[in-house]
Amino acid sequence: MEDLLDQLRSDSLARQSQSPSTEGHPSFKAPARSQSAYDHLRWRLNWGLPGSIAILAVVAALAPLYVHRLPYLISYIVVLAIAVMRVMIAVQMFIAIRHLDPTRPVAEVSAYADRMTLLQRFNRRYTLYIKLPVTVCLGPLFGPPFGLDFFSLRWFVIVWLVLCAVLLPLNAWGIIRSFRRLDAAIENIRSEN
Amino acid sequence: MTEADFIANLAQYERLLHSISVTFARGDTDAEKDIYQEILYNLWRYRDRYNGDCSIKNWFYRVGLNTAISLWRKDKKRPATTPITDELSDHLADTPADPLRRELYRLIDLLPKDDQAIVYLYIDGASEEEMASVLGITKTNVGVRLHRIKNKLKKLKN
Repeated sequence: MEDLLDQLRSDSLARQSQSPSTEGHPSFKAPARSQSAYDHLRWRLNWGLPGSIAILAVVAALAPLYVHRLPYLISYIVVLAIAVMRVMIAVQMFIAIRHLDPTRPVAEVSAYADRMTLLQRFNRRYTLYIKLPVTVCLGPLFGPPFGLDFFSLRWFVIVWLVLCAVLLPLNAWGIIRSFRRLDAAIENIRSEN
Repeated sequence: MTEADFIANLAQYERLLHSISVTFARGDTDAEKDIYQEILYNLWRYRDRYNGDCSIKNWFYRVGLNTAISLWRKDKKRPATTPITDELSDHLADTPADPLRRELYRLIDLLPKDDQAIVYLYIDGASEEEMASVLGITKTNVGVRLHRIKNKLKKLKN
């Protein structure tokens, strides 16, 4: 196999030395499309960051409604933590997407694309396992300040809370490990140069 | 880069773009056209970002490989049933594809896309300096990775 690879390389070099380059390129016309594959994603992510900051601001503004009783305060802190987490994910995505530039070296773009994939996977899991269940199960605790009574659903709430308590650390551990590996790879590329 | 410069460079390195498209299309002629079109679009779109930090050829390599790999990432779910074989062989060499060569390309298709990019550059006759500049790693690292890839290919064959 190794010899064959070398043979192919030699063939290619020989071909390149024989084939003369042509002058001009009459068939070329400037492309008229306005978006490339990454443009849409970039647009979405650029708006993802201000959007998540806005959500965090709204949650923070609701603080006075929840500080006067301990259960409400606990639920409020959990929701605030979720909003902060969303901002952190959005910041990481914002940084990664800036590096997905086809004019940069292939290894660097590839490392950030891997990071991006991990972030998107984490975001999906975070929404499915944490954001949705926590939002649902904290409903009963969020109700009273607005004059609603959801406490008849308390067992439902307890089950979801237990699920979240198990799934959150598992997800967090997996993603932290992946990020460490990717950071090491990116750092390696930087230090090599 | 002016439009005239762009067209002149495109004429010079068109073969390079075609061979990237063929390599990453896995024998699918429609995908090959899509990749070529996307590479061309990105080259045109980012032509003003060329700042001379590498040669024009390496810049074409960078944009071409990054575009092809990003399209492959998007299109990962498509089953890779047709390995790159005859077309790439015919493109890179004048001799017709033989079974050993077909086997080699089948094995290359099993490698991660980053490694395929290195093999592509190697087969295409890029020097270690060129590979280092395109990939953004050192010459030493290029040598190490090539050595590892060759070992991987050997293991895959056995």
